[in-house]
Amino acid sequence: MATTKTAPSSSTASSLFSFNGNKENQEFFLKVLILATIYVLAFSTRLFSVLRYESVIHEFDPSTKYLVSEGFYNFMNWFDERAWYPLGRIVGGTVYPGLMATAAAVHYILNQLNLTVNIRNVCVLLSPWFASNTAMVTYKFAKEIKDTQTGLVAAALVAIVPGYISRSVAGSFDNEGIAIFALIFTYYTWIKALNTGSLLISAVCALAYFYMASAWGGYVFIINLIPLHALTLLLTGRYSHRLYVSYSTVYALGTILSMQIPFVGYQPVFTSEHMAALGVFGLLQLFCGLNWIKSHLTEEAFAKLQRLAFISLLSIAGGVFVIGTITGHIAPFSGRFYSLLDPTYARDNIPIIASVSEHQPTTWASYFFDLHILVFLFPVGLYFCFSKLTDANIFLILYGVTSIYFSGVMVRLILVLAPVACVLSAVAVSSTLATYSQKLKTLSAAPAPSSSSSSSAAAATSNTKESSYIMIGIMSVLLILYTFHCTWVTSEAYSSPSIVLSAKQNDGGRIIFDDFREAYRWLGQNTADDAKVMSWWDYGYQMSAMANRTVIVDNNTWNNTHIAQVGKAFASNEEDAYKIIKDLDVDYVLVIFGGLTGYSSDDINKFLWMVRIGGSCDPNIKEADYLANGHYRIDKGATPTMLNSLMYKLSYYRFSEVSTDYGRPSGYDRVRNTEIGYKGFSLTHLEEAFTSVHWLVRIYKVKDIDNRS
Amino acid sequence: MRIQLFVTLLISVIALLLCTSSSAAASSNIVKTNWINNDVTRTIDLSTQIAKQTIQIKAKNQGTQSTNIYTVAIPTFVDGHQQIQAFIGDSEKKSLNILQSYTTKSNENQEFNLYDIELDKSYSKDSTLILKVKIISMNQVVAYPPTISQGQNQLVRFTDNAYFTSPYETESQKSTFKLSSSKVESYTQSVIDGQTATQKGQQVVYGPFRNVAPLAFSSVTVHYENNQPFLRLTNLIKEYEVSHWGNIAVETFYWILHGGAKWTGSFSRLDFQRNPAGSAPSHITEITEIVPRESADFYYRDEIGNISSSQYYPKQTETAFKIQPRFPLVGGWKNEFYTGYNLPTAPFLQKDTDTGRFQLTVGAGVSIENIFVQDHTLRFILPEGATDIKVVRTPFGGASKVEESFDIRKTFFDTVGRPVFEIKTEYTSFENYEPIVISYNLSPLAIFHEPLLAIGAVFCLCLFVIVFTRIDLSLLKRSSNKVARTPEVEKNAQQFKQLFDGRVQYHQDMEDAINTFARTGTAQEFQVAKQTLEQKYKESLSSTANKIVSTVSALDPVFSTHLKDLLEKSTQLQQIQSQIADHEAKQRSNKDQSSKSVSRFQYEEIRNKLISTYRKTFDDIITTFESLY
Repeated sequence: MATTKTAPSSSTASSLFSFNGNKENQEFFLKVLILATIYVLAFSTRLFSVLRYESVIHEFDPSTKYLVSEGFYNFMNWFDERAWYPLGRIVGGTVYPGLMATAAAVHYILNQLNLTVNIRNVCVLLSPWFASNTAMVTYKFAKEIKDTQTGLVAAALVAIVPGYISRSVAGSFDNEGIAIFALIFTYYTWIKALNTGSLLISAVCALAYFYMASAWGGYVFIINLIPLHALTLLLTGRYSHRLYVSYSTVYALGTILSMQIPFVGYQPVFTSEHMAALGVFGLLQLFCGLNWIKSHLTEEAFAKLQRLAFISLLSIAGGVFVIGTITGHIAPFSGRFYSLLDPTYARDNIPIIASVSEHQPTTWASYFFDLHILVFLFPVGLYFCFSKLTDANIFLILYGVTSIYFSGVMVRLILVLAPVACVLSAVAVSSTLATYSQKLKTLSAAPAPSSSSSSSAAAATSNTKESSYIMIGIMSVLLILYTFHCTWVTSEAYSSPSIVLSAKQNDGGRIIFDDFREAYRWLGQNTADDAKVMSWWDYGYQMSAMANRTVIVDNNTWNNTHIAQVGKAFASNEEDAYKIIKDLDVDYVLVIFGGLTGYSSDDINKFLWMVRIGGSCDPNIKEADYLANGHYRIDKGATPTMLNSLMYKLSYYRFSEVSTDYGRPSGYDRVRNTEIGYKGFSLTHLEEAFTSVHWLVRIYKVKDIDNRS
Repeated sequence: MRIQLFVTLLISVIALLLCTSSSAAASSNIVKTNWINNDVTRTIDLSTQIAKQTIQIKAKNQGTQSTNIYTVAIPTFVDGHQQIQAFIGDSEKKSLNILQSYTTKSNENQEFNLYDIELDKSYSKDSTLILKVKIISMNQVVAYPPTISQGQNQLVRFTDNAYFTSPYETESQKSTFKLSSSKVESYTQSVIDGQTATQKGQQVVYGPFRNVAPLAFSSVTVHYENNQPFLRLTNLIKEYEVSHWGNIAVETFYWILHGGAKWTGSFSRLDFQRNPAGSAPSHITEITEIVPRESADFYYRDEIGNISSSQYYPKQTETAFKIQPRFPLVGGWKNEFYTGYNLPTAPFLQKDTDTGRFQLTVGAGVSIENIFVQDHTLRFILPEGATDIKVVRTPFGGASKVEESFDIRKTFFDTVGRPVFEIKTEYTSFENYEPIVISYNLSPLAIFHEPLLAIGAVFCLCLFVIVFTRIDLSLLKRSSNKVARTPEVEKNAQQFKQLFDGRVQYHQDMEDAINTFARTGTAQEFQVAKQTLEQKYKESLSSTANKIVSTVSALDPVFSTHLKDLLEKSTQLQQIQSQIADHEAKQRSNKDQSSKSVSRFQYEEIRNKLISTYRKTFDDIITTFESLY
């Protein structure tokens, strides 16, 4: 009540004191201006690829078109018989529909407003738009953790951090693009819910979690980090009713909501990845209950009860876990999860996971490449968080530490690290800047008392002044360098669509290799409508989207044995491969060959993975047979198994008649930098149907079985 | 009885039908006019996939009355995909109307389609007519053998009447077949009317024939090598989107097909790259379309994205737009893509000053040499509000089937949608792509529709923001720091509030005291006032508040940090206030001594700075405090 009284009195007092009433408005305006700039910046920096190439989707997922044309219910029931031939795939149950649903919703709304943007452009620009939104949510997140200044710095950092840009440039129609937004939004609402203890915000948090669960498998990270945070708070004696309210709400609502996604299904109650959350939920109930009982019991009786309760609970939980695991009701930790905890697990056990380049362990160079100065500011931010522990700061520390661990396991999880690195760095930057600029301000604000004081004090203050300038200067230089680095990385490394390749010529001109689309277009236009095409799974999505042909395997790698069949076909000699190909009812075989242009991620370089994956299901395929003394080679020193494999033959068919470089023998492979080992062979069961202009894509037609045989 | 009757009836009906049909065949001439062809020169250009006949006719009216109709005939086995044009004399300026087509049979039971040409004037008895008829035949040159493999040449067959097919008697005529090469596999060499065919280089000549009877027919076939690309459009959609702001957007969708001999076996890129002409003689790698000189902003795409291989070359009167399909086309291969460009309205859109109607004159097809189109669709998307859309002139002759339809399309800035006028026809050839003219009504004010809509939308948005920011819809004034507190914390919080209210009051009273001091008072008076105030708010300023905060911190750390913050700021405020007071005192003492060590200006500056810091801290405290309670 006193405050209502103070307001008018202070305004009367201002009659004498000069008072700047616009200051608050100015600050607000400045804030809005900065945020608006960040919003535009985050969007536009991701448009390099569109400006340099075109508005094209880099990672194809053919289901969005279906969703737009058929509606959500049909989409969930869609059985795609054109993928995973002859198995087919229930699309609704094997994808995270969040991304497609978002794109379809945006498309629908725009078209309802008579803004006839086609679905391709919606898909292309969805990721940049969500990146802008992520910047805004990061602002709120950092503001909730510290203050507005930190929020603004964090938003600016996250808008251009390369680790995030790598997955959100225009055209990368990826789950991760919107998942990071959902992730940060979930964390923001969680912190907000925790700080306020509000039921409403907890419910919003659960909704955000639902959106995340609908968009990306990484939701498991949330459902483990939030319990970890709750547990830490509990253990450090920071339990509060706010924690109880928010955690209980988020867990209960969030779990039920996430189970509505068909792909998630009953996992939250059956699999081990989700058990931690359940355990912490129980623990919180127990703790709260015990506290309540405590207030009604004597100390002694309570101590006894406490012991009894803990022992019985632990044994029950342990029993349930063991029985559940034995009976299979609690699924053992899935492969991907093991590979997170133990980097060597995947390489040893699941070749299909290890074969993806983005599942490789991260190198130090890529940390610097993707985060730049954030690598150094990250620990500083941690220091500032530790120096003033609050619930929110503890969360930030946990998030930072866990994500840095996970990013070390898998390259692509740098994506999860990037936003928290930005927030922590923002804490560091804004704390440092605030400290030193405050010093400068107080110095200039009160020179009168200092002038009257002793000369030594004056010297000390001037010293502080200089050091402040130096610190602020260093910080500015770092931030400017960061900006340049981010722009450079975005433009050079992350803005090339994988479907169109480009190379710089000697004269500086740019040469474009559009072979993929040339070949896919040929497939789509000049083969029978129901033709089945076999290729390595990397090209499955592209093929079904661009060529609209039935594929044997695609990027949704849910069936390991089916992929192993394809791997085995490529690894076998032509005779054996022909049997597998005929069993799979394949009409065309497609291989990617970079030997003529020097495109290094072609099928020959991926071949060992095919051998390994093929070998994982058929012990007759042995990796050692393809290696000459442990070396992978394709020249004369290669093993006969290698030289007679279908992949070798399809890649190098008639390549021996080509001279690639002046002064080199014919059949000189520009990727492997060697002359191929087996020349002048012919194909018996397949014939060349099409080869793209730079030989990047080679398509072979499978001949029918001879009448005589 | 009944059955008998029925059968007789049936028989008589059949007999009647037979009678009428045979009488039609027998008369063989349902043509009412009676011309005699004095001299006919017929040249058939077979160098491409299209058979282009040019027939020079000199005829005389033998009828009893004057007429303005001349009839030509085409054997029906020629598939019916012809375009006929006719001109008077040798000039090709004004084409004559082709009126109707009907079928008749000759005595040899050969069927013919008859077309009436409406002549420029009525020709009286015995007057002479010089006529030029051009017949473009689109499916008559057929690859034979129908399939070839890499490295083979494409052979084609052409079958037609050796005579100029006419319902009239012809006195003298000659047919010349111009081929694409001198490599002729075979041609019909049987003796016709005492004449044998002769081959001279790339030409095969039948005739001259004398006194040929009406509808005389003798089938001849030429089998020769034709490595021309058989580029055809199985489907073509051309869209003109007219904006009265000065732009016509043209978008063309092509479904192209190489209609030559079908490719079999493998396609070796190596062989093709080494010797394109030798390994696939009739392949298509590039298509050149002639577009208007004013065209700009070209694009070339297909449904999977942009295709970077296109160029355009502006010339004197036209622009050559060269497009390369993604892959070379050999026989039987197809591809789909679309291109687009913009045209200015000035040369193409005229306003008729008399009627006030707009008249749009644009190309009806795609000017690619030697192609033909199977399904041809033209679409005109006119500005919103255009009414009474009519075709003034089409290049598609009266003989072809033309369908017109209307539709509505809603896109950017549209409310009711733009009218879409669609024209569909079949089998058109580049030879007769003359401009199409359509006209429509449009209110002159309609042009302001779009900008007004945009302005209105922005205005509404601003209005919404203005109103929204001034409306407070919440029932309770809430703030972000307001948190749920346990009863225990709440108790402490209330205690703290009471104490802190006192602090706020203290600061305000101090402010008043300083004000008084600054205005009139002396230092002593101020000191007295200060001490009184400190006494008055003793409890609030004591350390009780700190104790409460430490109690709260055990219960609710977040809330306690806010309280701690408040106390800290209050202490700061106290310091600033004393600084201001000191500053005033010093100034006052300076005045007394009249030795101004600090100038008036400096004094003001420092004072203002202190006051603004004070004000800020004070406001900060109030807002934090308000947000907590």
